[in-house]
Amino acid sequence: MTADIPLTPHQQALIANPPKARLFLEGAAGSGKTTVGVQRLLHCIRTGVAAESFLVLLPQRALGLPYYQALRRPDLPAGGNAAVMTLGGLARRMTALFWQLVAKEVGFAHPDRSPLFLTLETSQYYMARLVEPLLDEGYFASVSIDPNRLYSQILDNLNKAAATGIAHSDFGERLKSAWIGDSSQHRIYEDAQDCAIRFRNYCLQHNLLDFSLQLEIFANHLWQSALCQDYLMQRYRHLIYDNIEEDIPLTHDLIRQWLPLFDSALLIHDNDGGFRVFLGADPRNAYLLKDACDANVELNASHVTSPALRQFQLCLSQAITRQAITSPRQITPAVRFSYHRFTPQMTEWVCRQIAELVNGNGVAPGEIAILTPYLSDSLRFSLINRLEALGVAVHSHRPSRSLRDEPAALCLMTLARLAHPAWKLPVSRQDLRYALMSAIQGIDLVRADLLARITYNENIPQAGLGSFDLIRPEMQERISHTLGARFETLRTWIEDYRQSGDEVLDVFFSRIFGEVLSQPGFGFHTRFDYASVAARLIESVQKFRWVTDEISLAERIPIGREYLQMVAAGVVAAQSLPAWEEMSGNAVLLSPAYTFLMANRPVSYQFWLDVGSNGWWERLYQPLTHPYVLSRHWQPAALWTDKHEYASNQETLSRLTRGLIARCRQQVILCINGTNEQGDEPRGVLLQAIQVLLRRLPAKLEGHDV
Amino acid sequence: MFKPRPMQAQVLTYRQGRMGVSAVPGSGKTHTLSYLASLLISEPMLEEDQEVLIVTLVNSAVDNFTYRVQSFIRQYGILPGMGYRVRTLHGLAHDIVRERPDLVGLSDRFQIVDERESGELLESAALTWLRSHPDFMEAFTREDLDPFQDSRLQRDWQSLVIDIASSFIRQAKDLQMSPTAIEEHLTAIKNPHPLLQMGLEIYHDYQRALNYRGAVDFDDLIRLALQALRCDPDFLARLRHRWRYILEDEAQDSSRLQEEILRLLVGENGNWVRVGDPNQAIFETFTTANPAYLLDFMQEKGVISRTLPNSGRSSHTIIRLANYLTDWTRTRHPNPALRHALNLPSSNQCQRVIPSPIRSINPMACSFPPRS
Repeated sequence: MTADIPLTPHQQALIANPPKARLFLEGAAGSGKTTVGVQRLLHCIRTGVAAESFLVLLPQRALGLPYYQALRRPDLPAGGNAAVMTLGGLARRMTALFWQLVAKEVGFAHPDRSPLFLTLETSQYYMARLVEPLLDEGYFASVSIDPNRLYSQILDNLNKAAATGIAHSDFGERLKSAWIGDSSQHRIYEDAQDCAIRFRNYCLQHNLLDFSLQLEIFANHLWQSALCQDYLMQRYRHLIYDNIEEDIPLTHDLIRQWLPLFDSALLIHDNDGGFRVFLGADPRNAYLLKDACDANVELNASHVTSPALRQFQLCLSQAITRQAITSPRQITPAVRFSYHRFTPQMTEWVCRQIAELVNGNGVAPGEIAILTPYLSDSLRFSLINRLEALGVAVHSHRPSRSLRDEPAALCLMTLARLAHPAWKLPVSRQDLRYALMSAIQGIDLVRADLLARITYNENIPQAGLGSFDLIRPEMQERISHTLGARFETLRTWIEDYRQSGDEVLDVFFSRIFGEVLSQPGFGFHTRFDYASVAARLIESVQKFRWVTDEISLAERIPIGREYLQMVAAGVVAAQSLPAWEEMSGNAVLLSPAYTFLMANRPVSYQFWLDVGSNGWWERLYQPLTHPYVLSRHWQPAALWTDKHEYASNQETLSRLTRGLIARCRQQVILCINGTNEQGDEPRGVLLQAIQVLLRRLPAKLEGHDV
Repeated sequence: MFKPRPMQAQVLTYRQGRMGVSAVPGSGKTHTLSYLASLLISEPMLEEDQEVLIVTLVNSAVDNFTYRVQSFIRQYGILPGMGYRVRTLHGLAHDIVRERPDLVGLSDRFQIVDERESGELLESAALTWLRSHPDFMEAFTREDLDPFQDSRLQRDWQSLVIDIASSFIRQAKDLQMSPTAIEEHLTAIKNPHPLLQMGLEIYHDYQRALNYRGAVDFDDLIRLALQALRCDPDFLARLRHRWRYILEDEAQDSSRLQEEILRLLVGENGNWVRVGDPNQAIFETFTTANPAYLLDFMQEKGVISRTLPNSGRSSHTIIRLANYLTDWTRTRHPNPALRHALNLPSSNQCQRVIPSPIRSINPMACSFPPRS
């Protein structure tokens, strides 16, 4: 958190400290630790330390935003730039640089050829190719799971094993031995292990490097090489390693070895952090790095929260862990409670409260966050629609939302299917109708539907779109000639493209975006969010193309068709890249609670929706993988029972709520709904804790049907 | 303000242990049970993370109970919906599985297919099987008929195969048997009946289709809930702690799986109240429901037996007729095997008539006639 607030003398001293020592800086969220990191980096650069000698290491790119923004400042001396990256980024860069050195040693079949770095989606694509035929042979018969989730969980096992230092061939046995349920389920861990080994062998055969292999190569080969170490030592002389508690143990191990070799190091630890445990983060291991530093400094005074909010933080934690509640009445100004029998009542109430705050009390929309454990499409839609109708700017961020759910991406993909008849990918009238609604500015559902019905025949897709000029005049009148002219421009462009015989999908997307959709009169012209989606889609196709060329040539599969098919099947989820920059705008933020935490941006008002949901408490249940069993702290022979589950979930909820409140300046508004979107009556552990507080407070319950 | 009748008041003195209540129609059992729930919720011994679990038969009863309990506990300053939970068996099973889906091989996003969707999957699996076994219809059709030419006959066959497969799958799930387990049993038989083989293959296909969607059907929910409770004792212990009291409504229609699930949740020394009318078992003919579960429970050692014999709903003549029918069935039914179909009240049941609050319609009510 780097708010524009005056620095304390303590912070100033840390920033001005000569870059010679290895310092461990710890403290609560909001105590100004990242501010120290950023300002120290700027101070050092301004006082003559070469920017390029700095390595700013982070567990996740999103957490680097304050550093990226600081390094873009125009008042910095000209010259090189500090490297802001994750271990994954560093591993990839080093592997590309020293490929010839390690390729043969690692066991790649073609060390003379270039490596192909896989993204999450391309890894999933290759995993799907390998596993799909095995499903018909009876693999994973006893689990009920969407195949795409199955592929991603096998990959997750590989990544967690690499992050922890477990051999890629050993995770199955570990999962098996911790399993308490029916022994017939052992088979699925064996299947997962078998598939992971097949995948690894396939990668070695085809020079493919998924995330786990990149980590393993860096840790087990490159880091062991004197040449590579020399390069790293000479290149990076100063380290700033922020949010170390959110990183994987492999990074901690490497930094422990590397630390004595830096001229200076600043390790920053959030004592309330550890939100990414389910992704392999190991806060316990991170804290051990404290002993490897020369000095330890603690910052604990929060620059963000009020005393009442800090009391709420304490009381809620006590209520969750069933301890006696101390001074609950002191929390009153910091918290509001509301109850609503149904979710639509809750969304309406929340939107009205926000409109009142923004329009009535002059609160900046960017100072408000709406947080939920999960953000469904329907909730997202209803909140955004209602807030916009009330004149409140809102921005939604949900990293797991895939590009294929975005109207702009769907539009581009439908147009791509129309423009490439040889790929024989069906386009339904509904697809076309929605594509036209996104593509043509000013067209409504009825007119888009009319155009789709009149100009397109699903049974003869190769005929393409019919001309607007050839339809009946009364229909032309109904649709309007203005819209008809826009449709005709789009149609003609697609027709010309069809004649050209081109087949490179990303080039198609670039061209149709630049030449038609972004032009005046078309749907993308004023929609920056559509442009952003188009850019991400193009990037996704490019990355897919780069790593599938070999298969495409060998099996004569058009890459574009393969991509569209994989997206439609959900195999290539086309995960959207986190648009972190967009989050800093002055709009109400609507996001899952964990996403908000990882953005590390405090706000004045937080609305917690669906407080009764167990999603605040429980981990993501995935039958093929397990974040705790695949961690370093797990005894391999032990059984994972519900006692462990309960303890870890309690810890998760305490940590999550502490983290959220630490990022709130004025008030938390708790919204309880009697019935959730699924029609269930949620009564999760957070709600029980709220109930404990409510019974000790004179607080008024607002809302409906109270 | 609820003013209980004497027999209702007796039920309301319950605070712990096991109790069976035999209640006649219109005896106010929903109201009594709801009020009992509200009393238990208000007791200080119920911790803040504990609940009274009410299990009933149908969704309309869930709403009815919820509304009544809510109106009773409004005064205690408890958030709406807290302190109790009303569920059908499927709703309860869903809660259990949703809490730990990983224990039964599901992910957190598992879906439940409704009857229409599961019907479509079953139909698809059955028709695929028929297409790949064209000789099957021929083997079981009269020689003078041709199922491939006669479209009506073909439709009949399809519908028959779907019906058989549906029963096969339901029975298999009721017996907690996976396709693999059945396959192992059939392998042990030298010449399994072709219908068994057919059922197994369609079951395999149907289950694969569900797995592919990451989904379960209603029967799976019950089966998996039981599996989850059995496989992790700590999970069971956590749920036992949460549901300190279990109040079971319409217990005469309790099925084998419901009985097993609730027995597991109650444990050796838990608190369980079962209320029902053994003469009103309406699910018996088409499910595994059986009033014997309630009757046997009431005979168990340590179970407090209570009755709610006073009907406030039906007219005196209707009650007399009902009582006469019971008596006739038990003593004079021409088929002796059916004479146990209806039950007499337990020995401590009140036989006297008492004033009813709705005297103008039903001045006196007593459920069973005097034996003489």
